[in-house]
Amino acid sequence: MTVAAGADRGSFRHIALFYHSPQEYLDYLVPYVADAVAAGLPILVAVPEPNLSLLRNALPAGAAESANLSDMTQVGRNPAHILGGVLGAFAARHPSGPVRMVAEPVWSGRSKLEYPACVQHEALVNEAFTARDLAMLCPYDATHLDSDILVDAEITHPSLGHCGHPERISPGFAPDAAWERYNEPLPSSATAASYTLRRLTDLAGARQFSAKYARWFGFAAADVADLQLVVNELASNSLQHGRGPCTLLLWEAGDQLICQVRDAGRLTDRLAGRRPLISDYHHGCGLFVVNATADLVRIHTAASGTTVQAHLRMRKSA
Amino acid sequence: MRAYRADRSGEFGHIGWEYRDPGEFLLRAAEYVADGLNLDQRVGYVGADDPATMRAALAAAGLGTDAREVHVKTVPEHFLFQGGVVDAERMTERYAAAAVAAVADGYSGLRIAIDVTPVVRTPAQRDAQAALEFLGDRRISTLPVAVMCGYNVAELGDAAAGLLCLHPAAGPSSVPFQLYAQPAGRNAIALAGTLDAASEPLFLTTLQRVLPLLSHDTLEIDARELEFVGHRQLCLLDRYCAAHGRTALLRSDRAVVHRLVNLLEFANVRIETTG
Repeated sequence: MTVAAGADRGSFRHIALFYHSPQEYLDYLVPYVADAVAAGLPILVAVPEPNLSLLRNALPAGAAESANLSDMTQVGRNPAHILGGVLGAFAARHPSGPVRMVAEPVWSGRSKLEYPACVQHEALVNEAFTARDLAMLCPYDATHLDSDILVDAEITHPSLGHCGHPERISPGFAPDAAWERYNEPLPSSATAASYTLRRLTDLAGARQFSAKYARWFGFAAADVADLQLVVNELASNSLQHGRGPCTLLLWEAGDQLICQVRDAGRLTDRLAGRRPLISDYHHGCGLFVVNATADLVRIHTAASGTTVQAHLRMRKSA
Repeated sequence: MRAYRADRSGEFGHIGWEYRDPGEFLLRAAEYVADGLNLDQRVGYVGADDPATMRAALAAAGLGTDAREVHVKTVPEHFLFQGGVVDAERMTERYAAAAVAAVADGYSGLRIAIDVTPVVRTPAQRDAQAALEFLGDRRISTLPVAVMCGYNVAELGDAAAGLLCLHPAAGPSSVPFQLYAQPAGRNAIALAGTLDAASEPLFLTTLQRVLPLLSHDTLEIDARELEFVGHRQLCLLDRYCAAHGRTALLRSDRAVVHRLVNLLEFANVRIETTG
């Protein structure tokens, strides 16, 4: 399969590329990136190492410097931040004209906790870039990833690419169903510490409670400050947009501290926190800040209420 | 009570003091004035009653015969008004002149306890007093002056916080944040405490009151004592600066503040590292 950098101008294309070897990876992507650079198109490549180095080294002279290359394990460690903080931000910097992207959000090292957020990310990409002249290739390692993952990729991508075959329409494309399937309840821990907030003046107490809890485990001051920011933003959102009080739950799991905020409201805007920041404060961007700060953010929302769960990797204080 | 810029010895400085019972404030004022007498300062007390009653009350509150040393004034005697509200600019100069006169007369400085409640009963009065608190604080910060401003929260309610937060130090309970002039810079303020959604309305009111008093040069904000700020309050600062054609330069040692400013890519708020 080949994907011309300038093909299908004026329409959004979201293509899952199934590769079976490093050579196939390069066969797909080198021409795609090089053609985009040659055509003067803005192109973003956000893929995990070692694929990033493999691609960088294979690109023709000058192409690697012209393309925007990022290690997805860094910029996209939290799948919920990829859309707003990485892909959307790049698209927003190029608001007119065609844009090209290569985004690989799923790799073998993704945890079971992270994976549902990856699928939801892929599902929401279709909603986020509607009507943009933007083509996005999402490579999937068909050799090492579970077959369930490859099936999910077919559901979240309207177009599929396989080596040696023409690009085809995905017969199972159903991104809303994929998003809903991974809108899973998020149980808390039996060991969680709990704090209830009823009004905005409880925010200070919640931050102090969180800091005290984290310090009890000996976590570093800088990470405790991040936790306080996350707690503040999530609880502020709940109190201002949810219904009634909200509950903060904290528990420690290895080197992570997990923070849950539960309220009785329903989050109807699935792209909340996933839009790039532009000069529009009306939507608020508390979830964007949380997505940028935490290592993983999961959300479950239903008629009965919403739970936002943020995972923060914590370092011990020296 | 926190004091970030105020003279930590307590000799000079600008303190906001909230009270619910006038007798409670009188006791605190008597202590405050007694400290001034021990420091050889010219001392004064300003309140709503007639001078003889106030002097007797100060004596009964603990000053005893020392109450005779206190320059007791009524509100109309002490304040200069314009259109029914305090005249901030003229009052600022009156404080400065009084401080200079006290030193010329052999005192080590000037100390006044004022029950400000009678002059801040309406929104317009509070706006004018806010200007006096800010401009007066900046003017006296380099003079040998100690001022304690009392606000009756039982009478003023939440409106008192909008005036208490303009003091470098406030007590006996804390206000969520404090915003006051920085003497080191002509267009600089300090921001201390915590800013979150609960204190956002107060922050907006304070910006509305203070920013017009500053020049259009880059506004330096020393936020090194700002213990917490949420993203929405930084957005508010940026939006308010944009609406008034200002640029703010934030100083903070906190990584979270740096990350927020860099992440949100403000057009009107920049961040500077401090050593």
